[in-house]
Amino acid sequence: MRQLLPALTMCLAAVSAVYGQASAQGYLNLGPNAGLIVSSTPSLTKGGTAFGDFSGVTTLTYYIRTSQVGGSGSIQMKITNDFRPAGGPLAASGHLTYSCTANTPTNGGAATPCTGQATASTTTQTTVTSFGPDARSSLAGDTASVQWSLKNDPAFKAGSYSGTVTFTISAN
Amino acid sequence: MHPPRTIAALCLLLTGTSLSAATASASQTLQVNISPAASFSTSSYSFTLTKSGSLFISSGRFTGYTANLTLLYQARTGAASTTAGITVKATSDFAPAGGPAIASGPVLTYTCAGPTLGTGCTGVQTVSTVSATRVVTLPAMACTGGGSPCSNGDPNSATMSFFLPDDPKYRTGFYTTNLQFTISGI
Repeated sequence: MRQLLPALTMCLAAVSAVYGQASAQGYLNLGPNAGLIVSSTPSLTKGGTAFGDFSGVTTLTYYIRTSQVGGSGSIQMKITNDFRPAGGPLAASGHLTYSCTANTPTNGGAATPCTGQATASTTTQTTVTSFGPDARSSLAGDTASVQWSLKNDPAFKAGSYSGTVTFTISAN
Repeated sequence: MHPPRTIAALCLLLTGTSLSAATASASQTLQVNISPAASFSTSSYSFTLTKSGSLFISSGRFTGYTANLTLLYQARTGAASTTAGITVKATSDFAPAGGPAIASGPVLTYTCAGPTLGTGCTGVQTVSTVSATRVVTLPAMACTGGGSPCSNGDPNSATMSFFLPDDPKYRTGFYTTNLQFTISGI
C-alpha cells in the first residue's frame, strides 16, 4: 500500500523578548547634620605692655545642615580641663574670656556669633555661634573663630600652663 | 442507524484488511529557533539610602548614604552577543528640588557585586540621567538555570551598592528618584 503523506514541517519560533526592563525607586531622607574641625592648639601670646593680657585665636571649620522649618544649631564650648599646674590663671576664676566671629553658611541660613566679651566656663556650655533654620555650609566647611583673652595677673607664678577646651556642634 | 460516512469507512477498512496488512507512516520535522532572550524576574524594586556610619568622618565632612539593591534576572544570550547585559539609567532626578541632583554631576554612584551570571561592573560607576551605564555584562552563549553550561541559579541575581555623598548644601527633606534597568540578550 502506498501512501504518500506529505512531510509536515513545523517551525516553532520561540517568541521571546530580547530586552527586558525593570524600574527602581530610590528614597532618601536627609536630616540635619553637623561636623566640626578645630584648628591646632593656639599658643596664647602676651600683649605689648608688661602685664597685658595674653591672646590667641582658635579657628573652627564647621559643617552644618539644619532643618528647613524650625531648625537650629549651635557651636558651644566648655573648659574641660582648667589651666595647670596650680599657681597660674584659672578659667574657673574668670581669667579666660573670649569673643567670636562666624562666617555666614555658604549655602544659606544665618550664623550668629556670640556678642561682646564672654567668660569661658568650666561648668556650663557657652555659645560660640548659633545657627538658624535651613543653615547649610559648603562642602569644604565654613569658618568661625574664638579670640581668647587670658588675664595676666602679676599674682600668677611664672611658668607654662595649659588647659583644655572642648567644642561641640549640634544641628536639628 | 449509522451515518452514510461511517458505513463507507467501515467498508474500506474491511476490504483492505482482507487483502493484506497495511502500515502507514508519516514523518514530521519539528524545528525550533530559540532566540536570545532576557528579562527581569522582578520588574519593580525600591531601595532606601541610609546614613552610613557616624554622622561625619574624621575630616569633618559628612559621611554619605548607602543602599543595596539586588536585581533578579533570566537571560539567554546568542553566539554573537556583544552588548548583552544589564544597564541602568535615571529616568527622573531626585525630587523635590533642593536635594541631590544626579544631573549635576557624579552624585549617585554604585559598585556591582556577585552576579550569578555574567560579570559585574568594575570600579565605581555613576548613575546618569542622560546615558545608561553598565551593571552586568553577559557573555555569548550564556543561559540561566539548569547547571552547566548554564548557571545553577534560576533566576540569576546581581547586587548593586549605591553611594550618595552627603553635601551640606542639600536641604533637609524626603527625596525620591527613579531608575530604569534594561536587560539585553544580544
